[in-house]
Amino acid sequence: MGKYLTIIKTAWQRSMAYRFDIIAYRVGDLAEMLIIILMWSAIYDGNTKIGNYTLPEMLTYLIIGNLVAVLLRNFLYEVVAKDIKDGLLSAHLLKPISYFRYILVREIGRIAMVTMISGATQLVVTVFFIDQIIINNDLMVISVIILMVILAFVIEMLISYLSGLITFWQDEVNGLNFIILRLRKFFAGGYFPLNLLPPWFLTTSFLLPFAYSFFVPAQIYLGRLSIQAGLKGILVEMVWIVLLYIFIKITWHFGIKKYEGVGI
Amino acid sequence: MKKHARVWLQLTNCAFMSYTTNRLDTFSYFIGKTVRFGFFALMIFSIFRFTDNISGYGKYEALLFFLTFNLIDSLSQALFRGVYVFKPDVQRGQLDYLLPKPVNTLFYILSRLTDMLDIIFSLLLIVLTMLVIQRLPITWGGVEMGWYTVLIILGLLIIIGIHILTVAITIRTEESDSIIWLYRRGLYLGSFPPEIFNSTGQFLFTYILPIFVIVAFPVKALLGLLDWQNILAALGLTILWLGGAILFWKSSLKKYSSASS
Repeated sequence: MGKYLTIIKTAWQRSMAYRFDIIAYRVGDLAEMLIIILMWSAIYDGNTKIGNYTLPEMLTYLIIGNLVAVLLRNFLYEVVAKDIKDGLLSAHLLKPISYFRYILVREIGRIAMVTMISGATQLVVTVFFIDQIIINNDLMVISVIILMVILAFVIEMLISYLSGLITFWQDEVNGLNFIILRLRKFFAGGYFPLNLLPPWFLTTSFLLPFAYSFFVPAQIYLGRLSIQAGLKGILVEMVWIVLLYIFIKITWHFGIKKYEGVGI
Repeated sequence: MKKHARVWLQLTNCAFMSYTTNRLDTFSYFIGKTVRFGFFALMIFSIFRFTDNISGYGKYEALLFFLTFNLIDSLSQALFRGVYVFKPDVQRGQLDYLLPKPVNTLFYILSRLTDMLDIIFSLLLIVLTMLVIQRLPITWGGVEMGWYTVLIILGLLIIIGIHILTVAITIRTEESDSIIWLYRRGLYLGSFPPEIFNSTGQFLFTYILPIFVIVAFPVKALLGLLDWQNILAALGLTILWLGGAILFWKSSLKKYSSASS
């Protein structure tokens, strides 16, 4: 356990070197959140309901969903891709710790500061709109959401790691990840609530892991999805974690045979 | 001018060769851009299933704001992508090698990486914008279209100013390529009509951070909603931002420490 804490601590200290960047990006987060809220407020001007959502419900959906989304954000694929592309992986292969575990733990340290500031930024937005959003302090609901978010965090890390492993076959994976990020945001309901789209789309989204990182937690918070539906979602997330872990093992097994250590 | 055009063509040619080397990555980026654009367009169409206007603007007028925002964003990325790869030059002292080149340093920094994908994407956006304009009561070749073009050019000049500021700040802080991303996300404010903001917001994003000058002014001019005072204000702000940025660049260059060189 001690070695993992040391890895987290080192990564945290390293991330502190670029404080200006961290803050500048968060200002961007704030601007994006603000525009989304103002846009929807303008759209509701003269309309009491849009797609069965009142304005407070829509604002709550966006604020809660975005809060969850920023807490789950990671940049692991970039790190893994760089390690493979630049031959840095060779050094890791010699270390008495598995690369998979090392890189996951290091990423937690690397993004901890960003995640904390992002969370704080979103809370600032929440405070500004506190009288316009719905407050739900049901402990059971909050517990289900927290569990769902923790599992969604693991899923996001695994997907990101898996995307990075593609570098074994393809030098540049940024383009591929660009597509994955866009699709993920859409299927997560990050652009707008998924139930504004046809029902078959919503059914498909529940089977994919993405909806649990924005849409489902926000819906449970709003009381539009039951606790039972939330627990079912947690089960889906667990299945995805197992599946992704198997995919990762298979990809690593074949990928490491292609690795040439170019760049060392 | 001729020399710089030749340099730009050579740099663009190099960028094209680089894109063809990583064909899968290039293709993925293009698909990613199209998917993102498609989802936003889908969002606008979905919104108009439930309402007939956003702050008084109809579907095609709102689409015009959205397309103009995308067009300006794409054009600026296509032409000034070089700024995104500038930070390592400062951190590693490689700016030393750019300064003695017989070409304007600022021009080289901004334009050394032409984004071919965004050039293609911009062409698609121009076609889509023309299709949307056809749906609106706008006269082809009329004075409004002339002002639309002029104001887009002024917007691009302000964007050049913002890119120069980013480069200058990077020299001073050695860690601020995030400024360009801040600008990109800020420009997103222009993808919807400015009337969704209250008067304070509109003033702030017109005269302090001229996002609405860059995106909303051309659209408003095209729709015949922009008076001559605002056109003059756009011209004044362009001079202010571009001139101010160049002065700041000159002053920042004196602070360059040639670290790690």
